[in-house]
Amino acid sequence: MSGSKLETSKIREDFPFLNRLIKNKPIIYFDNAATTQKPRQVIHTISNYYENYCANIHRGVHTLSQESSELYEEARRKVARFINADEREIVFVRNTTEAINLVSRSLKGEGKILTTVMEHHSNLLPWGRGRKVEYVDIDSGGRIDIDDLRRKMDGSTLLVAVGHVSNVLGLINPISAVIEETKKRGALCLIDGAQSVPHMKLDVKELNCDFLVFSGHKMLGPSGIGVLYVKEDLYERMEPFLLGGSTIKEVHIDGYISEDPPLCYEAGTPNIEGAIGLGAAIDYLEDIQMENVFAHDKALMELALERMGRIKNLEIYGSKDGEERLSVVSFNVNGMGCHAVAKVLSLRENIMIRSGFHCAQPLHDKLGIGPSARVSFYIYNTPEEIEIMTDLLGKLAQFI
Amino acid sequence: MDLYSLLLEKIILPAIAHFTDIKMWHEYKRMMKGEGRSLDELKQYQFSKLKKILNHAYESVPFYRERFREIGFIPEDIRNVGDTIPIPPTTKEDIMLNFPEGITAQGMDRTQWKYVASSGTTRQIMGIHDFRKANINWAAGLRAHKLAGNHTIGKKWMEIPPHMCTNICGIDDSGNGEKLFSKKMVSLLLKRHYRGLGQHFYQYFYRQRQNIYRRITLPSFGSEGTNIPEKDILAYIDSIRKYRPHTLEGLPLYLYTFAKYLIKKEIPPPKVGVIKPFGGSMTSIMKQTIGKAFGCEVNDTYGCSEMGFIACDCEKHEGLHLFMDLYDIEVCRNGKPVAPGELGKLYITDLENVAMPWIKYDVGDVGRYFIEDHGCGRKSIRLQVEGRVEDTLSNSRGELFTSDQIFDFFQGFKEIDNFQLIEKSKGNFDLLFVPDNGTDINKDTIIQEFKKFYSSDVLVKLYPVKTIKAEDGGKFRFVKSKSFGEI
Repeated sequence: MSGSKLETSKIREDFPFLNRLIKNKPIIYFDNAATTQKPRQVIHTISNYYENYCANIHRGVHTLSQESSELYEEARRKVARFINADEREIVFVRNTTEAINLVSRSLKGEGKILTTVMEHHSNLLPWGRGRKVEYVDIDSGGRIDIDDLRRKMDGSTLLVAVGHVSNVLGLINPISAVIEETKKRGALCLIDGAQSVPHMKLDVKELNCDFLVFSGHKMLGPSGIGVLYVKEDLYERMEPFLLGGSTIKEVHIDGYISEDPPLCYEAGTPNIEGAIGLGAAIDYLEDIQMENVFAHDKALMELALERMGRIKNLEIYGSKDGEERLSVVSFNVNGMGCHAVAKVLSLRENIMIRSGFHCAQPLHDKLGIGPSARVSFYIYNTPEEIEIMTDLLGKLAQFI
Repeated sequence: MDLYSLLLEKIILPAIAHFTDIKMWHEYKRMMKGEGRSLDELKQYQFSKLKKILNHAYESVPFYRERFREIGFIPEDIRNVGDTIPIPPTTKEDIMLNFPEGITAQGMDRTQWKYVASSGTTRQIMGIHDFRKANINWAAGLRAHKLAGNHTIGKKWMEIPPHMCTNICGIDDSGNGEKLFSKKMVSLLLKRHYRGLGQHFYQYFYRQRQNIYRRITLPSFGSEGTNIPEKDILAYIDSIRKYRPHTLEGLPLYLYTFAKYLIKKEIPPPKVGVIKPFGGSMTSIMKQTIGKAFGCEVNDTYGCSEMGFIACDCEKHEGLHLFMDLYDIEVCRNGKPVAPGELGKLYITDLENVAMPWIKYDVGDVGRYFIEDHGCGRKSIRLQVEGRVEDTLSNSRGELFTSDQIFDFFQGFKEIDNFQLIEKSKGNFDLLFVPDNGTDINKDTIIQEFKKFYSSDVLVKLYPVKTIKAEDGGKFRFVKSKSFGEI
């Protein structure tokens, strides 16, 4: 596969799920935009934590608590390094959704929120609670319409929240341009990196975004752990919205002194093993290098676009230009419901794809379509798997 | 009959049948005429069609050709319906593993075929209907509604289907479709492509069928489960009262919930012509309670999305009359046909779908058949469908208990509003129950009674809950078993 330097066959050896057979056939997992499979290195790290280090963090003087705290903070350092942030700028949360909710609830100030019609529900609904929200349109190619963003930005704009890569169209949004526009108007910018951080090298300093949010489970890590990056000086404009254990330095009956960030945003016992597992996932991705991950996923996506584009009666949504997209292809087979397509792929060839609105119903409304089928790729997927899928899709699409 | 129904029945539908290739009305008339046949005539007619479809499946469908060859079955040789016993049932897995090219007829014109799918997501099954089958299905629907409730097209109709996932997953994925007067229509007209134009009109009016049928759809109970708030029950009843439908169709549990409420609160019922269950099995107690509460006929029909309407009730309510001109059904236990009145799995052969023949399709339901003439005037065999195979329990003596039987047993306790019986392992049960307001639960009595009813050697634990959650697609399972009975 041109452009990809990943040794896929070697990588596949690290993923135990690939050994599972259903009806004597291997699994072809193309639902990576929903969640990825886990390499044995991550699985081992989590089980090793449970077997050897399990203890609550930050509040114990005993050996296990100190070791556990160190592993947890080491994970934070790994995440920070991964996106070129400072460890103080990393807040562990459950997932992208929680991260956005946290910003929505914690950010002081009244102003208007701008988001787009293509967003995941998680980057739409949290903003609607007690805040004024406006929606930036998408252009004919499906990307954020920068002109519409300019029109809607004004002095009252507090924050622009935009997805880096659409989880439906796979389109890479021009976030540098979005951030630049935002800065010109003195507003803040939140980037939803759920579909981009797992696939490409991101540098928050270079991007100059204010917030970056992503989930661990979409990048080989366990579920229940996610990341909120907060540009450090912005902590002054935020206040914790969950209080309790870990968030305070001192508590008296008539008041309390808050812990410093990021700990003051991590109320209660956190997902310790999840954070440590995410750290192991980052180690894995850094070992194989994000540049290679990007090239591999892009090459797979281009192959899928090329092969699916040849199928009559199959409609691909969004740009057909592989340069503009990453890793996700949504489509429908004319005359056949997307759930039926997903079911047939699963039952005939163990091909696991997603069907529905992908938590982006307004985008489907905007495109004037019902629910869609979606394939999404990752480091363990191969061109051969795409060929099996497109052969079967061809049969389905051209049958009637 | 009101003017709208009259217009549809006397002018519009006959005109469509006369001037286009949409022959639904002719099919309907033919089917209704055939209802007067004797059982022997029906059997003869059914057998001739069965032989034809088996021949067709053997000649044209790779899956059946291979299967028939494996067992040495030659359709030409069959002399009676019983000769099909050696054919193994076609499972849902068989269908999906061979779908579409292996399970459909080769060498046919596929331009007017269309995909159909059963409801739900996780258990969805695909099928294909050709244009004629689609027309027959439509006609069979009219027939079922006419025979079981005197519903004619155009009478007011209200439905409360179970789907709970329409908004989130987008189950209703038929697409938005084109407008009647569109570029496509003009293009077809300019090209004088009259067949395509007919299709365009057909597809448009198919999408408009809610309006044509004067049918309105109320939302399902959704994720609330069996026990929705009282204000919601009142809102449903109010909607029914305002619309005054001739036919009220809904998931049996929904209708049963309204009925129990009407009786308990002594509320005058809304005016409804006939009530029909939809999307699930209606037990005897449900039927009696609903009939009593609404003061109207409760008529059942049986069918599935992949095939269509298969059977419908009569005024005697002693089983549903099979549409023997359209289907053949075998009721089998351990692969062998059972005697009339005995419980077994239903294997259905669709006699009309030439695009994708369904031969002895294991639809996943259990039931019984009755052959004797019970005097309603229709002579076809009757079916009593009693739930899903996977919801049927088997006790230590090998006796089978259908979910309908178990439902009616637990509904006999006034303390229990709703319930779910979960068999965790053989003979080891959890009973989740929603207590009826204002009653005291005697758990020991319930356990002892269940042991008498089912088997004395079982272990039962009772857990009170506020509601019983619906399954995928919004339907309810009142019995769940990890070791359902071998049938």
